[in-house]
Amino acid sequence: MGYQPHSLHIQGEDLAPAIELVGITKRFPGVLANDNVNLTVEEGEIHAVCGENGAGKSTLMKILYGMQPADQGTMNLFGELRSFQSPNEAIEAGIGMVHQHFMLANQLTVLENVILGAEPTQMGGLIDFDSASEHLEEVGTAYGLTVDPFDLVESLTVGERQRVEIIKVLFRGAKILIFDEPTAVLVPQEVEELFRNMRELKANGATIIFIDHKLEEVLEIADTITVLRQGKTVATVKPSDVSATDLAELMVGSELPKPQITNVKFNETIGIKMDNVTVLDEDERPIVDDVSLEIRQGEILGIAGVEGNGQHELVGAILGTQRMSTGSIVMMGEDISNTSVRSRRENGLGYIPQDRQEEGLLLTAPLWENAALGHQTVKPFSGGWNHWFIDRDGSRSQTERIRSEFDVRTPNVEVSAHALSGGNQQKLIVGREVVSEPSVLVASHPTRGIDVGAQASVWEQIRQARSQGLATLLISADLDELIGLSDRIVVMFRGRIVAQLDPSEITPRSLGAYMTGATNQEDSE
Amino acid sequence: MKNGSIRRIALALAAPFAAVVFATIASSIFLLIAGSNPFTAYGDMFEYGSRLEIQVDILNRATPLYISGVAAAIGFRMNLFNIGVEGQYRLAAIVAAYVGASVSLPGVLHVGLILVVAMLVGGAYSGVAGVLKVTRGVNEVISTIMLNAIAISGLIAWLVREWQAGGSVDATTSNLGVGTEPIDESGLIPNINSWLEVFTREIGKGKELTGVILVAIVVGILYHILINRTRFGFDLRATGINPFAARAGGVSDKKMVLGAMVLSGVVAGLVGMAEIAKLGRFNPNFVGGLGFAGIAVALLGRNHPGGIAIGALLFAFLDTASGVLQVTGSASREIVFIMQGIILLAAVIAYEVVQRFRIREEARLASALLEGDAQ
Repeated sequence: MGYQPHSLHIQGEDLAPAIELVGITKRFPGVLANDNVNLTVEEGEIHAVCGENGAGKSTLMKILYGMQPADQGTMNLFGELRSFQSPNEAIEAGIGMVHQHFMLANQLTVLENVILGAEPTQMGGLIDFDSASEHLEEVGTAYGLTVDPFDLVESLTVGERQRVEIIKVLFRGAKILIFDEPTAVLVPQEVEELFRNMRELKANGATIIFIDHKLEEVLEIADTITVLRQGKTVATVKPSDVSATDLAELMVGSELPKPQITNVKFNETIGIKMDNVTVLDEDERPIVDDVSLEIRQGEILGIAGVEGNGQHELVGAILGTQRMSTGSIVMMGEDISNTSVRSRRENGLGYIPQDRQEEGLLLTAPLWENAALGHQTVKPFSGGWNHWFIDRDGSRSQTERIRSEFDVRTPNVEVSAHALSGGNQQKLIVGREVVSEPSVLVASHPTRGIDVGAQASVWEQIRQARSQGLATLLISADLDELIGLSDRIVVMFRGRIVAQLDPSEITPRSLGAYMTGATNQEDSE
Repeated sequence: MKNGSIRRIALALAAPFAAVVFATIASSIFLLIAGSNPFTAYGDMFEYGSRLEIQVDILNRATPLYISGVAAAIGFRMNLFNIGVEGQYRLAAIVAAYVGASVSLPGVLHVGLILVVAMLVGGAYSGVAGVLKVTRGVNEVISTIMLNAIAISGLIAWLVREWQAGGSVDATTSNLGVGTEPIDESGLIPNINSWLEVFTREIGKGKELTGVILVAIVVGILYHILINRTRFGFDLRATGINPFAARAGGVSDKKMVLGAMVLSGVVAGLVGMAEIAKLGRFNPNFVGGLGFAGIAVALLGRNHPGGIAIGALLFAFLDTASGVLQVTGSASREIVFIMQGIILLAAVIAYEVVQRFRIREEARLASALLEGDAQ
């Protein structure tokens, strides 16, 4: 197919660029999300912004769209210095955002959705549907976007809904459109359709910023590509000058951490084995697609991949919160495919959730109750007939044990979980899972958002648990963590396992290429 | 450590105390606007409330309020709003009265049967809302409101004629019924005047302290054990605090919804028992509104077994003592409803404020510890 040649739309060098961001810096507690980022988008081009999760793309777009103020830096719009206090101001200035997650009311028609929040009124405050549908018609024909304005949104396909989102933005007079990972929710044919629409928009003079990390797509559609890594602009390139693997290397970085040399002997016993596991999303599309893997005791299997490629759902399938449509899971020789979450946990499944506050903790409950969560059916947390009663003393002393062994800094075990810092909360969770001596541990981003000291201690605890024969599934976006801990790494892309790699032989090029779909081990085999 | 727990208790009491003080001041303003002297009005109420016979009335009123509060609190503990206590207790009461009147058994068994029937009916009726939520995702607020309507103006209106003592009456002679057949003496929970009289003088004016207060106490103790000591209670609270974390921790949300809903209804079934013991039957003027009052009492008591008791006593005092205002003419008795409303609103706000204060305090303590370590 190839990509479009570099656009000829830039009308002379003297014209000011549509957007010029200079030296944008944005700090969050503990994180430098944007570090002196520069971005120049010419009028009438499709400009792709790529980068891994956490590279700072979203933050940059939020600043551009007026959702967050920048700490430092300036923004020029068509040569004019601007700063937006709210998205409304950005919309007025002609910037529109096509959100990744559609913001549509399913029970309303296309027309009603499009005018929602910008309803044209006639005398008496009534909505002027006639002029609205006329305007919609104009916008639709001007940009070559066709959707029946009187269809209910719930009857539309995913691709059509996205078109409604685009029309919504154009209806408000946007000249600069930001597409936030628009292809994440689409099937390949719909991606083609979207790209046709984007080219049409460009031909009619719109400027497009396109956030993505699927490199083939970026190379196909973009006129210019800016790569972000760890909050910094790494490079701005033309698609004709680079290959997919070059881009992948830019995204991942040129140096990867060295794996820890471990002389751990794997046990031959298989801790967990998944066969042909498929999980469907709400639209009946496979979000985990025919995944098979096995982890032996004493082994850490790392899953690499850009977030949103099915890792979270895979974890849900193992935990039992996500229904599998096909496939089976065997843990320590027992088929657990149809068992409850509780029975899986009682049988030795430990779980470190990706979001400790959302899925891991009872924030307003005392620490000892948090330590019991997930283990409340077994000693020492409960006792009495049939383990019907919570053993308060047992729970407290077990929590004291976690507190000292895992260095959880807290005045006592009676304080509520929200009083602890993120690192200490995470140490508590890791502690409660490891202390219960599980046979299989699922660790999802175990050190996300915690300080370096806590991170080192969590890593150490996971290594120790491995040496005692724990089978661990590690999901992480942090390559230091992934390569440093894993014995084996597989890459997930669009719900499938696309590659299996040896951590000591991984190169930034190969890993980045698999993660972004630039190459596929399955295909090349 | 000791200091810490005193502090905790002080914090826990600060909110309701502040709420009552605020409500008293606010009500005084209303009284002044209405042209009454607040001091006289409050004085009358307290003087009246200090009489033994009136205290018996207060306890009698507080008993069903407490049970109703516990029923609502079981749901609240996991963010489940059982608005249906009203319908559940009334339906339970009429069926229990009917069954109780149609058998004759020795004392303990007879009373036990009536209580068990009431609990079963209450649990079954709230269970309908539970099943609807679990299988069809119907919001329990909506379904219990509907079920209230079905129970009160449908089932009970029909049953009270159908089970009319001396044969059913037809619709044309409405409001003339005397209620269900009377229950034998053996089925009625006796008064416990003698228990109270141990501590004080004889209770006069024919007042009787309901024996159901013992049932309420047992309910309160069991509620405390269930919520704070059992695994079921832990799962229930965990689901209430964070359903996602609870689910990841192996708690089945469907089972918990059903369990909590049924249990709430089981307790609700007992709300009407004091009235049954007093009347000896279910009659068309059977006491209403206890279910809704229970929701207020549970909110006021923060779903805590002791807190609900205080809330029930406070509301019962206001309900009962309001009677004197009319007699002395120092104020209109409706001021009491205003007070109850203000207390409730103020309490909800005050709890929130105290909660935020507590969160900040704890975070400060924990981070102070970290800094101490660093040095």
